Amino acid sequence: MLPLNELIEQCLNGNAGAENELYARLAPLMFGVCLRYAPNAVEAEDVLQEGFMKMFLHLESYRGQGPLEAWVRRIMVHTALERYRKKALLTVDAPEEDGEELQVPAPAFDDNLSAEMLLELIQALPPGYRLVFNLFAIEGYSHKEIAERLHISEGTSKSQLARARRILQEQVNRLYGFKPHQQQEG
Amino acid sequence: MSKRTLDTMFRQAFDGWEPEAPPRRQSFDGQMRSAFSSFAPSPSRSWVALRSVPISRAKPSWIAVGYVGALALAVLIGLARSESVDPLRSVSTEEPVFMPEGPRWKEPALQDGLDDNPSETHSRKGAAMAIRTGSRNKEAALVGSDVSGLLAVEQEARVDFPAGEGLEVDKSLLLSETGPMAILELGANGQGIEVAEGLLLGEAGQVMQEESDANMEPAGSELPLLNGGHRPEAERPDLLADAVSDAVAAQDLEVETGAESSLSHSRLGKEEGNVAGVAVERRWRMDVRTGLNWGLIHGQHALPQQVSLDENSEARIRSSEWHLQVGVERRLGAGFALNTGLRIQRELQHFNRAALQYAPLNSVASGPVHSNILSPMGPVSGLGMEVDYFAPEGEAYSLNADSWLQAPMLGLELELIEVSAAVGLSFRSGERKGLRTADWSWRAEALFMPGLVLSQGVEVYSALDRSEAGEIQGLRTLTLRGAVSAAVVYGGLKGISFYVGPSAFVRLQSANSLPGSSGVPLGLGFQGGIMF
Repeated sequence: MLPLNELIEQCLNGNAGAENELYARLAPLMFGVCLRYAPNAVEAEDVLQEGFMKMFLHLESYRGQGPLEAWVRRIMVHTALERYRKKALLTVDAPEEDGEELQVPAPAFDDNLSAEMLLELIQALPPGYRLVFNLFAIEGYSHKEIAERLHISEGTSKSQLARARRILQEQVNRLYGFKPHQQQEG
Repeated sequence: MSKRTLDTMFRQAFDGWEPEAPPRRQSFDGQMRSAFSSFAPSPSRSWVALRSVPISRAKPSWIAVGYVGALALAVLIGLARSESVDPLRSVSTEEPVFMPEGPRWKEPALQDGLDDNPSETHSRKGAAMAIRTGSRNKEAALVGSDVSGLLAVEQEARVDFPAGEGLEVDKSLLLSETGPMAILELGANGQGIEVAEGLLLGEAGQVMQEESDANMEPAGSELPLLNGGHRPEAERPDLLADAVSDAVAAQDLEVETGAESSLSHSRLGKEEGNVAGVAVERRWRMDVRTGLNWGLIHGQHALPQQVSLDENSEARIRSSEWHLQVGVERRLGAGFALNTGLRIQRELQHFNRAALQYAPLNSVASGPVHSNILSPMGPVSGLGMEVDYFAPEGEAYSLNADSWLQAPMLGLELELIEVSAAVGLSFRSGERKGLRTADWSWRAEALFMPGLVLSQGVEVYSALDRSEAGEIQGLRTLTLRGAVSAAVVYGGLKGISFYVGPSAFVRLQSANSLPGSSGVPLGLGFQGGIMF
């Protein structure tokens, strides 16, 4: 297996085999990212392909500062945002509310639920909720950053996040029978 | 048990006791994050595209480069022409018209010959006029109009000379006592005269007034220059130009005042000369133009071979076209002109996803439909051209060309490069207002363009990239294109006319460029461009 930097070099030289190998290395992880943003696997693969096209087109701009995975991951997220931003805006209809207040206690599923199970729940979210939840909860973006990227207000971002969380928690509780965390007494 | 014993017992009991820390509660987001931290499913698609289609990184388009180069060259030529043949361009029509107050000069003494009258109180030197005739005429009449009396005086000298030979005319014929004198009526008996490459009026340049008297202009001032020059703007002889126009309007030459000559002769024609602010043009003029046209094409279907098309379906294809036409324009009078030329044009037809998918997706509920939409016209070099349509769930249809590009295909572009002859009739308003050419005018034109499609390239594009899919080989399509257009023309800048307006065309082809194509394409759109 070629070292990563050598693989990148060969990709920049137009070596199709190296491009294919780099794709093989990164595709599963990035596909997981795309699946969280797309409503289904077919569209996730589209996003993945677009993201890789973009990655290979701009590979020369990767300067080796930081892991390649993180750089490609940002591309994938950006690609997904480009694709679903408009749809997300259509679902921004909620009145702004305090996104930090959760009415439904968070379930404690710890390691009991697999990513596949949770993925179904995330993909079932409306596009706007899905984007905001992914960006905030998984990617770690701030509401300010999300607002800039999705062209919405911070309040809307918080509202979307709160609603996404509520839906997800309710679904987890309903489908998998998890009880909300109870404060231990005594 | 004593207190000490109790304390010791508890102390010993907790000494070194390290209870198990309670499990740290993870937030909901943290749990989600953890769940996806190592989530790495395998996509079903392989990276076929990279093996078959090279990724082009900022590949320049030679066509774009060529277009920009041609445009720049054309602009430079236009500027150069306007610089070289438009010495009067600085004359402003806004300035007050020079109007002599009564006769200030003596009656001109045009003699039988061509020499100055030495008895004149002023003499002139330097300029001469050379006339070469065509083959038909043997006589030219030089008419001088004296504006001092508002055309009351007209001198005339007729000179016989053999056809095809030059004639030297002294400057005196060009100057009347009122100064900005001109000129000319060529072609005896109203027959018109063919003027060859140069009706070089005032070739030698300035005519200076050497002497002056009380009735003449102040000594040292310049008389109007035979070839333009820098006569004070306030003295522009508009009336004289009008007079000249009367004299020559019926002839084969056209005269324009200097102020507008930059527009007219540099727009299309070749200046033959100018006298005292009068520019002379031929009826035959060069016609160089380039333009862009954007619009929609109706009526040409791209039919997948294995899918029947709803008869009501109709593809709307975006079209953009660039052309360069070089030819000549023959003025017919009354604003009409006959245009002929050679034309090269590059047309891009954009079949977007909607245009491509209308047929199969309306006809086939699901599953991939292999429609060999391009290959029937012959082999396509390079890559296979099978395009797969498939209709996933809902309305999010997408179109993939899985055999050679796995990225979602947003559309397909067909590039036609066509060479044709162009014959047409045009009308332009405002070509003449008296002797002036208006800055703003409108123009209508009908062109017929029989030609040949030289090449047809196919390119597929996604949101991210374009990939050359190949060229349809062995197809040299004969075409006949008819086009009508109207345009608003502005011609006030450096001798270049700009035009923009609606256009429409219809095209017949000996073979349709897309397999299964039918119908006669009708294009509607807007065009804009420049003419020289």
